[in-house]
Amino acid sequence: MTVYIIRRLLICIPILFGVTLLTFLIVNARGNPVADLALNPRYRAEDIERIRSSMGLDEPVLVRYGIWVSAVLRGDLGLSLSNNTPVRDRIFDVLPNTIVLTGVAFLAALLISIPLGVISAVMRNTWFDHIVTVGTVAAFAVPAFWLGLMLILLFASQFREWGLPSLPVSGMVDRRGGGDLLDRLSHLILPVTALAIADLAGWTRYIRSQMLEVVRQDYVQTARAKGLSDRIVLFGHAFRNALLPLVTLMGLSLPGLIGGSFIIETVFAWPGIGRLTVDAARASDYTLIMGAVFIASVLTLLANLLADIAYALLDPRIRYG
Amino acid sequence: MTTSSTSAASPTTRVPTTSREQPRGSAFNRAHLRSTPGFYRRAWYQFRQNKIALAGLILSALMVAFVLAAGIIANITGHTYWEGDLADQFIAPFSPGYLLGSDGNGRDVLVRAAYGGRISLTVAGLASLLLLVIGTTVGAISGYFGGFVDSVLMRIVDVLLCIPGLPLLILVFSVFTPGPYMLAVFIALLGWAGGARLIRGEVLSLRKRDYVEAARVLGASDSRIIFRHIIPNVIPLLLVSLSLALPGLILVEATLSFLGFGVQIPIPSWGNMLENAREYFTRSWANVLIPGLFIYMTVLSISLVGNGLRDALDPRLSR
Repeated sequence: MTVYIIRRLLICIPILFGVTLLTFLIVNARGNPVADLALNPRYRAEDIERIRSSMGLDEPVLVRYGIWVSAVLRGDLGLSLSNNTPVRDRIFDVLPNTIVLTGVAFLAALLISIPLGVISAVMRNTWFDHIVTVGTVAAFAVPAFWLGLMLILLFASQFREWGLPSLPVSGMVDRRGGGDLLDRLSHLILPVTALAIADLAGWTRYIRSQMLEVVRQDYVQTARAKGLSDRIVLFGHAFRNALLPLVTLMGLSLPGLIGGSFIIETVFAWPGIGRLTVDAARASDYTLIMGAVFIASVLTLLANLLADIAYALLDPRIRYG
Repeated sequence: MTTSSTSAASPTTRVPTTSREQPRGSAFNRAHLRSTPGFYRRAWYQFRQNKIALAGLILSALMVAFVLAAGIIANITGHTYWEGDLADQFIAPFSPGYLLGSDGNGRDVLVRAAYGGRISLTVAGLASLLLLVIGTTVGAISGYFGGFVDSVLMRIVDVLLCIPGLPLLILVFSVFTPGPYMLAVFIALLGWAGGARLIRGEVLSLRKRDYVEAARVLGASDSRIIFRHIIPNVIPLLLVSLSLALPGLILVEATLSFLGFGVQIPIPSWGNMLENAREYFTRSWANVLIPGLFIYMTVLSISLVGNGLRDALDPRLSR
């Protein structure tokens, strides 16, 4: 097992190099970034040249890539172009907020989709099953950011108009005297709803069909024929095996969840890595975006790694080594 | 891996596979029959039995008709998508002259939704086609030739798959500000990896089939084997991937345009209509509701078609 984990970790290294190379090449595809200064008559040609060389831009692309990557390897993501603070600090300041948001969304989707999927499989072709099926099909296609906007409209303006209690729609804590657990939780409700809905729907459908498939397997028939109660057959035999592929599926949905948090954070003014990146992109703060894309990729790789390890641990049929 | 399934997916068409590997070939494999005309006739018959998928197809067709009729709608209403009458700001939907109301600049939302939808569907459609062309080419080369070429191409796929899509696109579009067509090209250039991996797996299993071996023994060239014997058998899979990729790409375009990195004003798209509506959020909720509903209906109807196609064309894919 240890060997397997080490091997999986080693595979990540070239992939991460690929990520840095790709992001670096994209940012450099634009050509000379100081060239625009020539439009300003107050800059003399030699000034522009001096700025260019002071930023290291007169080196060839590959040399600059080498300089950047070796800095990244030492944990230095450079300075933010917009305010000269270290990119690493700016990202790690907000990273926990993103992890809280995606983590809670992940857990919420998990805790709701499993019972929904199992129950609708057990109650196949009843009204409950039909409602769940229609609901998941409908929820799977909802554009998350639009759902977020509609939730804000509903909770921030309509409910207040109707005299109903409203939910906070921006930020993580109430600026005036907030910060306790209840306040934090109430700020999480709407963004988590918008972020989790697609995965929730997808997983529910998957668990339902997976349960239906497992129930038809011979060993479940055998367990039933032995005279075991429905509940033991369901949870002891069927459910465990139905869950197995779900582990992979969840690992695969994590990049989408991380990517989704980028827009949900922007909609709900959530101070996370997504909103930081969008703001950085609007301000053309390339070093910050590159750092954020790199960190997001690291998170994705870690999530995939965890899913693979969990899968290998859970399924003895998987040969690793 | 796709996660979706409708209730209409009949369990009898499902082939349970305990192993995650592709089934190895046998002389009587189903794939052998895929390229025959009867295969598509049967698939179409199956598709028609699926009422939900059929409803999706009709709704998608209506949506396409709506955006194609943008010019006609503009003529009837007498409004353009770029000119607004500031005296007519924030008119509620279903008012005379403005069926879907007007936005903060007094522009007709109906006309803008039609032109915007044309852009959104064009970008998503073009991107999905390009993405499949690149994905199929890379996947076929990788799966067919294997070896060094395969490992190089698959490492590129690994890299592209590990960067979350939205952040990468935000990075690209903070560097470049392309028009709608180049937007689609960029989205395709960064999004083909998943498709390539899917096609590669399929080609890998087709390559070992007896009829491919037979063609090789008869002296067929690589390109003849790929284009005459392998690609026709991959086409059902391609059709399914296309119909399942399209809704996702509509969402990608909408998301990017909403953030201001996609289709740029004055060209309307459903995404940047939402961005525009967000600025005067509390003045008119209808302006937020309507473009979103268009996105939602389109995405929903196309994914219903996709699910129906998958059930009809490739039972093994349905889950």
